[in-house]
Amino acid sequence: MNSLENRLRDAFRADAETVRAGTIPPAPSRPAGRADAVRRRRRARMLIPVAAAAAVLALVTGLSLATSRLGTQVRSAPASPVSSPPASGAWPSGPVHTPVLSARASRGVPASAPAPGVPRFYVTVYNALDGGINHIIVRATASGRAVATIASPARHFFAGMAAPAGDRTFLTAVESNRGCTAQLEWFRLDDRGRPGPLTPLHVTVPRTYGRTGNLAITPDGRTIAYAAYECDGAGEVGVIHLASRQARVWSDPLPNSPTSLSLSADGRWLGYTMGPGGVTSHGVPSVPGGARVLSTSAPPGSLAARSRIVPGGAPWAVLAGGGRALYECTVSPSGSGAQTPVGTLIYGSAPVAGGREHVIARWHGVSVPQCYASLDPAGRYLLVQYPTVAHAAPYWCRPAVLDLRTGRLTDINAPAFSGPLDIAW
Amino acid sequence: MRQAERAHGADRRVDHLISELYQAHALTLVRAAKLLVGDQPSAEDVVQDAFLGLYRALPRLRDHEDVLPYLRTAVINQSRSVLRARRRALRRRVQHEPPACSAESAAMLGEDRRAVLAAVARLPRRAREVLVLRYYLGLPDQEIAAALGVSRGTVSSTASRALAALGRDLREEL
Repeated sequence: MNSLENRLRDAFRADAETVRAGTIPPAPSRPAGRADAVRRRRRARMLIPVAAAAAVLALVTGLSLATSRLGTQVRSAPASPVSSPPASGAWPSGPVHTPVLSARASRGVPASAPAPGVPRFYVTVYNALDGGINHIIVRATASGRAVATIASPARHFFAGMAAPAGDRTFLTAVESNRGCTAQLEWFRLDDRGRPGPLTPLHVTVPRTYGRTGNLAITPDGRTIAYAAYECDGAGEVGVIHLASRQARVWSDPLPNSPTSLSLSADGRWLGYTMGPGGVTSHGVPSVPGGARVLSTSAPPGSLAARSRIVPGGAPWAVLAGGGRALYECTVSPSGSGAQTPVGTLIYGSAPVAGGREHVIARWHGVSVPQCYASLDPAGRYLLVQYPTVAHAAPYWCRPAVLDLRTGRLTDINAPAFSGPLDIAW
Repeated sequence: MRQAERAHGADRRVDHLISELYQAHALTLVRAAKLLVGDQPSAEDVVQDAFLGLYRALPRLRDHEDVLPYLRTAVINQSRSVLRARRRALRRRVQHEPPACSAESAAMLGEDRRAVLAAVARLPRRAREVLVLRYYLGLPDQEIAAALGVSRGTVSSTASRALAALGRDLREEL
């Protein structure tokens, strides 16, 4: 056996093992064949009389309950629109890694008043398989043209991207290939989109592992939130108030992974969404998916126990402005195409405390609908990673701007990409 | 009615069998598919489709020993379909970025591994398939030949040429 073969085995194993045990979906269910369909129809015919009887029984029971309530004038208390998630059972045994603010830590990321209109540039953390490139791409929103790229420092990679308001400043996490930490750094674009140098905030956070939506920053650049994963410890979410040098950390058992972090404008509320979880290899019960809200003044401890579930189970959501409402995206499956699921993609806004969703835009018949988007710091536009069927392959997206006031979607003439990617603007 | 019950019982046995097979092999197959198609979501779809196909193919398979080779072949064929679809998109001149991996993947791979994988990505399709089956799944040439539907000699010569090309690309003496 020669060294090339050993290198091949090693490279294949390392690449393959990025698919982690437990992250793959469950076994597909039996496809509905003709025989199944016939059998179901037969069963359905048999069930008609039973269903009719059950419906009558339910109607009678409901009427009698309603009558009794009216008679005694008892009014039930309205259901609480915000519920606490069930506490998870097993807790991670590893340590929680708190952020470290050095003596030189910045008091904030430079920010200014929101610029009018659609942000002129957006930046993407991009990882190309060919050559293992990890870099940041700056693109002009109007043309989609790549204006600049920023290569990651040697033996480090960019993971995460967020932007405060105003003057084209971006926050990113620079993570080490080894070790368990990341440095928060910022850079600013000039008026032609050319990036200035990476500037450290002198704040060290646990490695975020490059999950999409793992960084958030308030428009004033003073408060940062991060989600970190699996450095021999728990999944955790931390909030750092740079001005007061205070940090709080909440942890959660893996593999319940918070993502799509967002902060209210005043930094008092943290929004995030919980992935579907469901990984059983860690022996940790999964928690329900959907959006959550956490008060950033909540005492440190269990993320799940301190957070409130936002009704609706949206797979993607970000807090709007003051933190009382959120923009969310939901997917309503409507069937299956030749190979890929098809559904309706809905972007809307809803009160955090629950209540009717205001639909901003709705698209039917979307192939492999997915939700990921980035809110601009002024809160007027979403940069939507809209699923595209142009590639006849799932999970490809094209960037587009959704005007939150009009619901109008405008394509950005930029290359499609295999998403979701971390994008800020 | 009894016939329907029998059919239902048979369905449940098949469901159980496929569920057990999925538990046992899905992760390895997704990982292998990821090496072929480059990203996890597509790899998951490839394996899901392979198992869906198994529902239809199971009655045709003579015994349980045929199941895993069937799944391997199905994964390879589905992976080819994914790559073909991407090539079609390229021919239509739809703009696209090259296949991307997550930052997580980038972090997990050292520079040497990325160089090796990039060199593998530049090989012809069949060469890549042979290398993945041989050096990731560890299959003997005979089973690789069965999975790819080629002769054992073809597997052997393809592997030799692929290793030579990789050696040149990576400037390594064989």
